[in-house]
Amino acid sequence: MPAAPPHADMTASRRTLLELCGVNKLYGATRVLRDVDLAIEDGEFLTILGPSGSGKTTILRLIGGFIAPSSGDIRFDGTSVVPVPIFKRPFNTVFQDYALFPHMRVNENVAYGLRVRGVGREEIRSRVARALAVVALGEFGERYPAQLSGGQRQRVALARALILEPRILLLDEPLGALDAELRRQMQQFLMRLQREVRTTFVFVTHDQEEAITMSDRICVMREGVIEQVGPPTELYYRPRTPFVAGFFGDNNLLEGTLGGADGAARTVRTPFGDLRSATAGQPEAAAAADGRAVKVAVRPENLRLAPAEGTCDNWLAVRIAEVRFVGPISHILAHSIDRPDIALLLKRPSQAGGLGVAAGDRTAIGWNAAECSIVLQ
Amino acid sequence: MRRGAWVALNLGLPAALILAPFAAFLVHSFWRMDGFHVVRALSLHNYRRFVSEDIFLPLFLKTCELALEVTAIAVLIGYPIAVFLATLRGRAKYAMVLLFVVPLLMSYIIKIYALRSILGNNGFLNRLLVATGVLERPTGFFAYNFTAVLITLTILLLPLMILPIFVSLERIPRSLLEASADLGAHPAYTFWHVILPLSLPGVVVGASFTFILAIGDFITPTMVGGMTGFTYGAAVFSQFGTAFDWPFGAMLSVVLLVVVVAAMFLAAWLGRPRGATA
Repeated sequence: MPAAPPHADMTASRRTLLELCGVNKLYGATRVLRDVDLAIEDGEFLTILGPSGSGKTTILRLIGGFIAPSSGDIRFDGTSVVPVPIFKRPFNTVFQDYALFPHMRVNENVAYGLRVRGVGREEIRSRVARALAVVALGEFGERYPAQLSGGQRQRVALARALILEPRILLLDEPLGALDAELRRQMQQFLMRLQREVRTTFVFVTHDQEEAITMSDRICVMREGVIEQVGPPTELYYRPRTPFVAGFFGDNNLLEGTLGGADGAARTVRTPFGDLRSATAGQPEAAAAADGRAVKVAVRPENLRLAPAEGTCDNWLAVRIAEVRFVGPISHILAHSIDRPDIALLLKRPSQAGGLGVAAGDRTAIGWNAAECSIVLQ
Repeated sequence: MRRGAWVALNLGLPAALILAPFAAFLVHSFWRMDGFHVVRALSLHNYRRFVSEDIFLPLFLKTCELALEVTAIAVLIGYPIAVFLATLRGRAKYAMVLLFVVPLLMSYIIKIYALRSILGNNGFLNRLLVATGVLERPTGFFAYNFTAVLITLTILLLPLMILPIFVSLERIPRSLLEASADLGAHPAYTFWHVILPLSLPGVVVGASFTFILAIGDFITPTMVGGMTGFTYGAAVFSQFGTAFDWPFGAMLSVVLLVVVVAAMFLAAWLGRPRGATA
């Protein structure tokens, strides 16, 4: 798997900490998870991303022990945790609504887990002070949760979970209730915190941007099935399914049928000529039968405008339909000359003097095999 | 309607319908009877009589004790029932809750008659105990005495204890219980440190309902109390009904009112929100 450069050094030495093996979850006749296999690596920031109802929170609740799988196994350090009750699992949760105890002060909330374990008074005091300092709430110990803002409550919930030094911290859409600015701050804070405490974070969200900016790896869910797991750049540039290809912003999807393999790439036959797409890290695409209907996914920013012929693996004659200035970048819409029904979107950094193209121009678009991805239907 | 008139109505109606009768009682309590005439001169005559005669003060204290006992027993029985109701799910829950609410909709008198036929010397309970061999012959323990008043009041007021506790249990977010377990707490620890403290406001409301209604009740003692089950409420009733001593009756009522208002303030203080809202 060609891990993207920023993640390469981090993924290399990791080992599997928790593993979901063939997990199914049914509520009555409704199947909310289907044959989920997922390995969570020690020390990573893994985001489970999906639209509502995709089963992402269900995975978190299965790990936490709030619900049991209908079938399949969950192994921690190689041992099944399915029979282990919630209160004995070495994982802690930050709840979507924070779930702070309203009748206890911030101090008491944070100390709760230590009290349960019978830790001595003095040790509790010093550890609570340290935990509150980590989340920058040192002054707020004597307050009640109702006297705090949303962001502060969020941090109390984090301190309360982290004070127990869990092997995995489970975060269930913890930023959902915060406004945009606070959300960005908390994203930064969580990423820094995760690096400091070196705890495995499993973070659930439905926000693509949040997932991309925060995670070491993302697990994309749809309708109870894992679509794809990988580093953000891999999901962004090398999607394997139509859903993932369309999930993170604009993408060009070109329909075709699979042709022959040649080294690390395959040919895709399209109505406007053959395209070549790399298959590295895409064993399904590499192994799929000739003639299978697929799509080639290529990002608007990866398309080159008017490349010299022969300098790109893929080349296409087009007519510019529209050039639209949208601020720091400009959108260029181009139609294939052979097949005017096929449109492509390009994105270019805007220039004060314009991009040198105008609607009606005949030109070409090109890109390399490594810059696109074969998406199986 | 003008805003001023609306405010006047909102303040005026309660004042006219609640405060005015109270004020009338308070004034009456300082008057006295001379034969069959009310002497409309203010004096502490009735209050002196209350403290000096050895009937009313002991009866009052005994009735306070009775009301406290009823309240305590109702908490001890009502709390587990409320917990049980709160743990039920779906249709079963509301069927069971309804079962405990329906008695509140029935006539008080009918309920007392029903209880009398259960607790009486020849009642269902005695027959059951004799039939099962627990007792050799029916006991008079359950009816026409002070214990009968205690039992009857407790049973009658139990729904008023269960409901507020049930509501306060229902209002505890599930995620708090999950958070407690997630932090390593055994279910018993969660009960003592999360569920119980958060349901106490319900207990306080239920206890104040129960205590206030028990201390002033005069029908139950009249109907199941027999000779020994005479209570303060019944004494107030008899001052108005049989003794025709309205000033003394008013004075006894004022004492009762003071205790009831004190109980309400105590309940408000105990149930005050700590750390504001949840």
